[in-house]
Amino acid sequence: MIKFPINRFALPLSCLLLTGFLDNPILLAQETADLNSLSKFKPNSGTWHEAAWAMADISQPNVINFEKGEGLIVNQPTKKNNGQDLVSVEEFADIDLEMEIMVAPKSNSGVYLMGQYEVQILDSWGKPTARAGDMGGIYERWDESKPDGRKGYQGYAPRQNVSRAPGIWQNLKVSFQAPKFDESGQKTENAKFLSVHLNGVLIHDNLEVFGPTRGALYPNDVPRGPIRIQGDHGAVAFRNIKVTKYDSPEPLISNLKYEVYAGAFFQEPEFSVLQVESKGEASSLQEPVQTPSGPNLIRYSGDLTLSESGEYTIRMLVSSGTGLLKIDGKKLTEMGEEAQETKVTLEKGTHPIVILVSKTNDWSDTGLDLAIEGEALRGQVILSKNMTRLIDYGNPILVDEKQNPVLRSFIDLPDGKRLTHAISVSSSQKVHYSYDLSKGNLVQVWRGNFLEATPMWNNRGNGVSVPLGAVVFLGNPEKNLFETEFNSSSKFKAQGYQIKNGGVEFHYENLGLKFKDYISSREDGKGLDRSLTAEGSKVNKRYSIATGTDIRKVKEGLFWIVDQGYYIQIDPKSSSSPVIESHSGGKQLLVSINQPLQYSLLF
Amino acid sequence: MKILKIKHLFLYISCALAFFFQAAIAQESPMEEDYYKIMKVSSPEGTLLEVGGLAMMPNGNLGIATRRGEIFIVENPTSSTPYFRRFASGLHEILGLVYQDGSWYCAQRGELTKLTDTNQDGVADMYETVYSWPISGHYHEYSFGPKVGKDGSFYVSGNVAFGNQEWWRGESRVPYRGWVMKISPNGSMEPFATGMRSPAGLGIIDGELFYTENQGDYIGSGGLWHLEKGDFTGHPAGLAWTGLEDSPLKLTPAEFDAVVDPRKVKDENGRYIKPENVVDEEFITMYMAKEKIPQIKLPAVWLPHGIHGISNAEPLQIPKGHLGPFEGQVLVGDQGQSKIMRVFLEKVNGEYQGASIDFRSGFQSGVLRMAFAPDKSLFVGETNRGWGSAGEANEGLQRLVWNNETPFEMRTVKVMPDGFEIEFTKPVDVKSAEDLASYAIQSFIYKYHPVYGSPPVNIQDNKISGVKVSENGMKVRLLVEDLRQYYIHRISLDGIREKSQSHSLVHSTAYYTLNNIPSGEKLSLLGVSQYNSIAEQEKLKAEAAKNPNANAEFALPATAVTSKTEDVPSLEVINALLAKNTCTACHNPTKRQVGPSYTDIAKRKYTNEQIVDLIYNPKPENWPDYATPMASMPQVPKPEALKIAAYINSLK
Repeated sequence: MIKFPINRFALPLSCLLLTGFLDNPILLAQETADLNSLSKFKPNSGTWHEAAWAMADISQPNVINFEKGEGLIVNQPTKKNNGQDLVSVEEFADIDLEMEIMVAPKSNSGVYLMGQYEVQILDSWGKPTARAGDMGGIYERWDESKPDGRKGYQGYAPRQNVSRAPGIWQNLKVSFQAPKFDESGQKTENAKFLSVHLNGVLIHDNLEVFGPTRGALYPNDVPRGPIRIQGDHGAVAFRNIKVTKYDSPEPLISNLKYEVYAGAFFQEPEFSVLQVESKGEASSLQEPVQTPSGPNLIRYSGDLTLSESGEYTIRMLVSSGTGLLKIDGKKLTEMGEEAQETKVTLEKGTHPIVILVSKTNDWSDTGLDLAIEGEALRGQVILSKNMTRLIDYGNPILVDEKQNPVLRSFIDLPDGKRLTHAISVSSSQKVHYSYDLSKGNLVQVWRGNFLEATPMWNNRGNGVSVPLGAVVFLGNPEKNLFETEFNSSSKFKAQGYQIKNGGVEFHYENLGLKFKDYISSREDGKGLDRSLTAEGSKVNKRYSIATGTDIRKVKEGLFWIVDQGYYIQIDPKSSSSPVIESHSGGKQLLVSINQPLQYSLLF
Repeated sequence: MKILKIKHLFLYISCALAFFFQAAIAQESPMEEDYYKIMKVSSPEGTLLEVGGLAMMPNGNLGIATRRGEIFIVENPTSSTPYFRRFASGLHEILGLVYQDGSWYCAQRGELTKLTDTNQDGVADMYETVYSWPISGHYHEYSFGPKVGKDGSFYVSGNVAFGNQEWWRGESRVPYRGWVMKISPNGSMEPFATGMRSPAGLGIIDGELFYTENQGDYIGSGGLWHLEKGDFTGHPAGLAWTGLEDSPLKLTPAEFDAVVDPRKVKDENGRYIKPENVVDEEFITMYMAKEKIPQIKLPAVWLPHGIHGISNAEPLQIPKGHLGPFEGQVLVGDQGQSKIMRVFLEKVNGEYQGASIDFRSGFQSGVLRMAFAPDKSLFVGETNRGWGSAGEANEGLQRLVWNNETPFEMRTVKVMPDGFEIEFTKPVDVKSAEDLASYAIQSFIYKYHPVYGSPPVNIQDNKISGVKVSENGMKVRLLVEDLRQYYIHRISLDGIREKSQSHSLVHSTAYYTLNNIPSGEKLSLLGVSQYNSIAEQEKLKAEAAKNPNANAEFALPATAVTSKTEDVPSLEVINALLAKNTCTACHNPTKRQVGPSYTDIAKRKYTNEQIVDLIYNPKPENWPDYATPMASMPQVPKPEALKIAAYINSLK
């Protein structure tokens, strides 16, 4: 059955091109602004501070402890001062916004794009599902005229709750398009969240908002507005706030005319001697053009208008044959291949453009893909998309955790390595993890949906399944067992696992010791509980339960693994006596395993 | 009176019908489906059975392991209401299943696992690692098995990975990929044999370990190998680990490459060039290489690529009392062609060899695994997972049921010192059996090279000089001139008829792999027929030509004289050509299979010459939607290729 290596043609060139072409635009910055100091905002009532360092204790509601300094801004309301929103001095329209957020326990905040459209910020820790009012939701709109209970409407819940524990830095990326207005000030297009990513996971995609959300600065949509951060609901901190502005109009093709010629053309013909089958005007390249059946060529001519000077990359694909592109009368590509790419420096203004679309066979689809990319542009701007090109996208295969509460597969780790003997374990609390059975390591945890197995189960498959939620990578050290007096050369030996009491107990031998490693999801959905027993351990052996560039002790029994973004909670009275030790490249948290070890991993 | 008339009419019609049916039966011989029915096994809606393993429990329940990592236990599996119990889940692409002492054993990609239901709630809770082996994480690193040997050990086989730049070249990136491993129940592993490329089918036959291999680089065609410790079956990737202490053979990759040129050639940009078949070259075959590398184990039976499968799967010995005359023989499934072949094995000079014959085609997806039910029907576990198959479904579980009528088949084909002895399942019509024109034998072999597959080469007709029919009409003994050791002998019995009803054989062709020719007494010419009806006709024709005034009665009708090559030959001729040249392995007139349909090819408006050129030099890039690229088919004779092209273009 297993016959042939993945072949070169299984993914046609056109598909390869188009995935890196129309579907995954590469964003190139135009102009950026950092909002990491209070000087970028209008004055506030005094609850906002500039800080160098911040930390929260998961058991202390609405408090963020901070050291004054530079780099981050912290809102710490007091009993007397409820706090006030922070409003940027500069106003924006189309932007990408990226920020890191630390929410205090039980706290509430929000970031309003243009002062109008709020992405909710909330301590939503442990919730298996998220609503519009949870972290990452697009907050509801409000209609006072409606009866109670129906005043709120058009809020958008994130696709899944991928938020983290309070006190953990969380990453939010918003790609936003402002509403558009005509010359008379009439709105022609609604505002749009092109995408929202929370902790690396897409939670909104191409989402249109029909008007301002509750508590907006202005009652109606406006062409420009500030970044506004809610400050009157609780303690919160921000860092690395970066705005990328896209203010220039996108390239436009206008005055488009076409002529159609019959025949298969593999090179540019001498048009003057050819008979035109039909001709006309088109409002866009997308508009269908009637052609004779069989091979034919469409010759488009028109104007390309650019609002910025610079270097542009233009890519085109005529999947039924080949094409050619001329700008300012200069030939930029040669006919021959299906796919064409050219780099060209163009001044802002209007340029005559000629596009040949040569269909050289009569069995495939018809149409043209054309996209332009440049420093001044927001990703790739699509000028034409072939609607008939057949691509078999297949149906995504999502793993149902009721059917498959555990799943073995290859797992590709954030550090680029592939686990070959991995198992992923789900829970109804939506807290999941992957475990390396060949090392006995708990490797990654995530909150949200479980796994997608399309890469493994579609077609031949590559054996890999992919976590759907926001992954916290714990690391996968070669060595996790440390001792001073123990000498054994016996290798690691996996012995399998047993599913019991709602959790999974992993069995293995390491350095001659028999381990039982029981992991279960916490009822409160805030993380995992783990107990590790090493049979026959009598001498001083220690086990590393966390590694990171920085590990901080929040209080007795609570350790914050800062950059990876999780906590280790361990009974302060236990005999495990955790110690933070430095090692090459960072720190690790070492515990004794002479007695059974128990701890919680919270994230 | 009126009533009488009607009666008469009725009588007349029934007589006519009876006559008509008799005539029809006489004209058309029974086929596979008249003896072996493919039945459905009902399962809960939405159940995906991409079967990787099948095993019967002592109580008659059926265990099914799937690609999606599930194990089902099916209660009353041959009834109309089977009950599916989901016994285990979450395993990594299981490709084998065994039930033993209350536990299940299966190979996942990276380990052999034992599954037990310790709390008796009907679901496995204990997943024990019997033995974990390394893998690099390449998609092609599948692991198959286990099969249980005589001593209770588990045998597991592992696919090779492929190179990054040399994506066509199988490579073993971690120890014992491309090997068969022998694992004891207590978890110790002994590397057993290597040379595997894609060993999807392990099987125990007469207590011995066998496995099937798929065509690929170094593997000219699929086949069935008998495996003994230290064997090397042909693909060199696994030789990377012969330097390890526990390796049972010491053959090094360098020693191998010195005999079989790896053709690692780079172009001017420093990139490796994919080795392709060279039509007129000096080549070596596997048996020639064996003269220098005695560790090479030749296949007991080659399963000619495109004829007896394109991706061979599990071999299963037919138990005693099953399938009538074929008990003790071997069934071999095929994924791509979605069918089952029958293999007859014999031991000659101490080594297994034998013949393969088609058995039953028409399964809904690729045949990967088989298991006999207590009622002697055969469960067939199917999948095609992205390689495409003749059966259009991607997965399935079906059941093959024999109606207990004996088909007219070659029961066995045995080699003799001077030819072959063929035993039938029913007595033959002596007149047809004594006519040498009823038989044809041709022999060929494959190249042994790093190219993907091989065309059949050194093709030669073997002359049959005589035939002796046994007294009871159950056997024929063929005298064959120049038997060719190591070659595959294609034995066609198109002219043989069954004694009582003149039926032709359900399958008239067998492929015998002649690794050994026995010594012994040759057949005396006493009672040997040398009559050849065609030769006689030719003689008459020649005489008629010499003497134009002779009686016109002797003039033969001008049959099968094809005129211009542009003409589209009859469908009968075309079907024979398509089958002979193995086109039917991947193409169908109207339906997409492994490759595009002829109708779809016709739409491309190629000229006949262009199609011929594409048969010799396929352009997979023209068909990006198809996962498996077509192999070049230089062995198709040009006149035949032209006829095929004309046929394709007639479908426009």
